[in-house]
Amino acid sequence: MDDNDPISQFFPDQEDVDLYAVLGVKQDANADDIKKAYRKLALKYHPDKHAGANEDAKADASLKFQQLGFAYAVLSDEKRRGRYDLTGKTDEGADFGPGEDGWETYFEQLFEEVTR
Amino acid sequence: MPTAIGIDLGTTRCCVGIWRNDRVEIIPNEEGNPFTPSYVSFTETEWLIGDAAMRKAARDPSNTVFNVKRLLGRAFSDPGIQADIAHVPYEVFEKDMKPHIRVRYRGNTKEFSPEEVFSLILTKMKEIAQSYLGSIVTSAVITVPAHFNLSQRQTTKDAGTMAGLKVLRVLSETSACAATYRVDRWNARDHNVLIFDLGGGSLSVSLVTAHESGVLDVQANAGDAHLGGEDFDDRLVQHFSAEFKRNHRVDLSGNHRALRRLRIACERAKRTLSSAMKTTVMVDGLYEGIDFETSLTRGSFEDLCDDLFRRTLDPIDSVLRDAKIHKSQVDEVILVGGSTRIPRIGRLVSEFFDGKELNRSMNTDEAVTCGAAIQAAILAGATSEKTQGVLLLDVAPVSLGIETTGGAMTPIIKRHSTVPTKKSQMFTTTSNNQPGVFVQVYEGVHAKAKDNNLVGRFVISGLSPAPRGVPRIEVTFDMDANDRLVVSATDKGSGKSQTISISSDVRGLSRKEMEAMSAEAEGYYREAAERKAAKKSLEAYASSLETAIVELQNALGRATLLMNAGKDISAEVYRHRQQAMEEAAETAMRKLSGSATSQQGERSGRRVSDEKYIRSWQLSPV
Repeated sequence: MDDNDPISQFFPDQEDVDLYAVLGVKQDANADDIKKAYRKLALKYHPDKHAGANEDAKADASLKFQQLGFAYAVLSDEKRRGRYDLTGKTDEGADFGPGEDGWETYFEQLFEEVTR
Repeated sequence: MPTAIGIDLGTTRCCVGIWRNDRVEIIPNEEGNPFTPSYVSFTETEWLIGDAAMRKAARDPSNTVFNVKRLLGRAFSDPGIQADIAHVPYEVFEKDMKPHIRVRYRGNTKEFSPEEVFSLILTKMKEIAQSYLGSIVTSAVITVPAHFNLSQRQTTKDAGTMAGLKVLRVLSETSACAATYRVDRWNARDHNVLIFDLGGGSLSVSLVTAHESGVLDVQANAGDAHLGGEDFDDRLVQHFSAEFKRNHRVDLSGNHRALRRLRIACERAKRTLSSAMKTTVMVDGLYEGIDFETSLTRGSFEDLCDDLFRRTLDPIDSVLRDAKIHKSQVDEVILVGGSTRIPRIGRLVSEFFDGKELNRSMNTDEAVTCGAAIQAAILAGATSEKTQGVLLLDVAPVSLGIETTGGAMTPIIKRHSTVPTKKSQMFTTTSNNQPGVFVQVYEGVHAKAKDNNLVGRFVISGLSPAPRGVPRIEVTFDMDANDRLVVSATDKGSGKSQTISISSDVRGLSRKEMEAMSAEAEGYYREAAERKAAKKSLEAYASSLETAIVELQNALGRATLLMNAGKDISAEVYRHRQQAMEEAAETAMRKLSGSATSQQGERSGRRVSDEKYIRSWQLSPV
């Protein structure tokens, strides 16, 4: 697995991770199915639901919830999901176009990057 | 199971509740009131909290502390704080860059931090619960406005800990309302709920999606830290003080006792106007025997506060924008908080939603406490069927990030991300052979880091020399459901890493940390500085040597001229010339040795005594 991809952070020591399997949905699942699956699993793994458990179980649930959140973040974002389907990459990728701060900041950043 | 209570810690009053027998019980204080004023009064013998303290406010204004919530977890330099200080009759001063309170207590001057005052109030709330329940209370969920940042939440938690409570969660007030709504009425379909909470001191607005699964998904929060019942009271007090001045040529400002009494009358009038159209504001002997009596209509009250009332709509706008939901998609608008009793507020909100009927079915005053009690039960491991399916997916109240090139704020965890969450981003150096990186953690939404709140900083040093842009430094933010943030940075090249846990007191670097950082920096700095200093010294010596040589050559030249001049020159003139040459040589030698010693002091290299150098260890996005 690519060490630079954020996926390695959430699934350490795992060779091959299928984010669809993490959420328990099929590859052709629609956005609504993904949302529903995430919420169902969140109800199961959210640390608040394991407040009374021992430390190991808590840590385990916490990791599971983070993996869940990560899989949801990738698959609920149309652009990221498309990229993941094509390349298996899960990072946010290069942003083309202005962010929240508008074009000026975008070009400033571009200038920074090019002239560095 | 430990006994866990929910506490609504309000600007003007507090309320405590507990989940028992499948419902929330609001616990009355010893005077039988469900609400305890957030007042602490210090006297010659004791401190009073709640109703007793509030009664002292008019008699002993400088030793009765209230509205402390507005000071909690903020910097003294905050312009908002300055405005608040102007409004309170007790003394607020600066200590460790934070506001503190000074009062007379038991014949001595005592200083309190806002969290210490809050811990007194929380202790009181705990005692109220304990005497009602007849058992020891160990833990609590405490609510805060949704717009409270990490520092404010941490400080609130510290106050709870000081009061001997295990703080299970510092919960946003509007999120608490969502939990109450969820348990109160189970609605088996997904719907968007907007919660509008206008209390005594602040306004919080949240958009929450309630799912049929039982999950409450907080989409966005917004608020106004300075908008609530107190501000409406202020308006009335200002208005009537001016009227009193016009009629009696007496300036009430500075007379805390008179202002306090006028404020109480104004607050009463404001409440009356929620049901009546007209009321009388009356204070006997307001100033040196002069009675004050005037009438106030609902219309003129609304006119006086019109701009304030309209401001309550701004957070609704920003919540809808952030959640990317159109106002027509909002299924329920829930009003909570005492100030939503003002009819004009309700009308404005309803008009905003194109005449939508508002949900006023929740208990305006108790909804927050109920939610806190429900969440407390869940976190304490309650096994009630009613709370079983409830899960509150709350969000990070502010963006969290680090400072990068040019002082920009690069958010790592964006505002409104569901917590717990963990995010990483790769960064690099900004200059060639940069020996380290200075990671500064900020919270806030501004594009410039310095406009945000600094919550922590650390240094990774000992990077292997490399051109700028080459080293790869991974920065990871890990935030749990309790808003506890752990920040770590790893230099992928050397494997060096640093981790810090952000807590309320990491506002700046302590002196000791500063010194340690400087010493570390000096190690890297010294070598370069020494080289530079040695070179400068050599240059200076060479230059003075050159000057000396030129001077000697001139003297030599004049001597040669004289020697070649012929026979008509007297012994006197030759002797004179020799003397001048000797003097020139002596001056040159003296200058040279002087120049050598003057350079001595700089050879060891300049000391790094400030952070300037480390500040240049900037990170840059990859």
